[in-house]
Amino acid sequence: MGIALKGVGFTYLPGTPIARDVLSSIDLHLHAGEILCLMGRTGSGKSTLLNVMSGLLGATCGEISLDGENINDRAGTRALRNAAGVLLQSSEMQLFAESVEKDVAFGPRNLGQSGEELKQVVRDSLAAVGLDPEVYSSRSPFTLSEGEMRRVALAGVLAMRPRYLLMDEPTSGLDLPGRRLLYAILEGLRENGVGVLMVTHDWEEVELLANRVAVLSQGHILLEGEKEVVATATCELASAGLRPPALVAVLFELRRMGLDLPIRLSSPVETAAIIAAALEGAVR
Amino acid sequence: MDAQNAAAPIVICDDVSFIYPGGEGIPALDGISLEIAEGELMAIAGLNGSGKSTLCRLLNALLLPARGKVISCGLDTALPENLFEIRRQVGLIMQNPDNQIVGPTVEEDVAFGPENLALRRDEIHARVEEALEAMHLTALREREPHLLSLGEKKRLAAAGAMALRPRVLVSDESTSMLDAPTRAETISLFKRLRDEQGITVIHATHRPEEILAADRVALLGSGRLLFEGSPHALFEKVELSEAHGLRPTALYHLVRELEQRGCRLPGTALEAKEVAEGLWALR
Repeated sequence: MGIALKGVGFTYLPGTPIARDVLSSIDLHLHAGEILCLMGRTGSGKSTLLNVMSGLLGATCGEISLDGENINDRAGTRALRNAAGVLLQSSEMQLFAESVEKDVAFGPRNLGQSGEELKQVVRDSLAAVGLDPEVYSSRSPFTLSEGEMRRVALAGVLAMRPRYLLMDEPTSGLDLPGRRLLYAILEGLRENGVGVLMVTHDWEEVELLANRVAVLSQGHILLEGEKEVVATATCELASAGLRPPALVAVLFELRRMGLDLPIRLSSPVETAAIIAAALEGAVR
Repeated sequence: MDAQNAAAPIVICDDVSFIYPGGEGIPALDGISLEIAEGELMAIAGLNGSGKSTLCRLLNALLLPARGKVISCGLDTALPENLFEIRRQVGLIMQNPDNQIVGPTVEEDVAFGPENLALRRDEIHARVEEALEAMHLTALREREPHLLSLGEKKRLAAAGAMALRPRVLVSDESTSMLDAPTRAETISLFKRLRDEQGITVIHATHRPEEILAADRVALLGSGRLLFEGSPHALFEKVELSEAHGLRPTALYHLVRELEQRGCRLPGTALEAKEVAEGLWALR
């Protein structure tokens, strides 16, 4: 089960003088029931990858499959788009309806829901993102703050009950309570077997949520694996223009200076213990 | 810090309130009084919907206060005759870069502001070069903005604001959506603008490491000013800062944890490298 990309490439404006290869030879598998974090510098191809993976953009080459079925016709693309919910980078731009309720209802209504069932889905989805349906349903989405608009956009995606959720930097611009709420939602979705791909620049999120991490650099997957492995691969991260988590960077700098210590992804307390022990050893 | 305090405030908010049309009478800002000194790097913190963006927009007269006064660079924002001069002196980097990109190519977009100031050709050229260089956009100068990634667009919006050489640069979450190295570079750039050109930078952000890098921070909550002072003093008020979504970084926790183990680091270490160097010196 999952969305699998094999040898996928994407070129913007192919066949024109300004054609630009953005993705090449991408092999990536998003499994059901996992959170896969995608990292990379701005312009490395993250958003394009997400759009290709969700069927919003057609791959220039390579194969995409959904739950083992190859996507190679319009029906397949439709199945992919139905299975994969997408939260765009500026998700507040996804909003268009005159009220929050109508905006969230748009997706499920297009999937054939109506009446009390539809109303309940809207109420549940708003409640799931921490917006009180009583307070927000009748408001225009355009009178809300950007953080609130993001939540409405997420509610609209959740209302369609996607099996895969692809999110492009969903937490940028969200405050801490908003982020914590999103983390809880994502953990709940994972438990229910939803596969989540999340683009992020934030190691804290990776440490908290990710089952696996993939690092994109100039359109290639440079690193992919468990978060502990990726977070401590300082040389590869540097070649992708990324920094390791701050605490790993401290350990790495100290080792570079000559202190004998292990480089591990761990909490501030554990990291402090590693450093204190190594400093003591160095004094002796 | 003392020298900065002695300087005349370049931005004064005097009992400022603002209500959005359709905002059902709920003030987005309520009785804000705040002074920002010239050459200061000021962080604006607060939850989503706390009024950060509204405050940013009041500073360059994109919005006008419903009550109270905003004086930017000595000019009352409510007077129409001050508008041109305020817009020239107070640059704004908006939250969504698509709201302020107008040029057909990256370099023409950066040139748009200086051209409208009717500057000489060579001066426009110099400013565009400088801004492109500072935001690492030189290689993308001929690209059409709609072909940029969102992070690149954010850098373009910042370059456009910088090319105006404003006295005050207001950044409304200009670092959100940037990767960590670009975020850190943006903050170093703000510091450089402050130190080398005396530019006042007002930066709205959620990120603790960016707040810690500022000279002072103003914390907004439901449109009110809840705290004004040094970033460290804010983070020491654990209850207040946590309630408003500010949790110190892992590095901050590591430094505190090391202190408890008797490894006292000099100064305020904000970067992994500084912490490592401080620790190395302790051997």
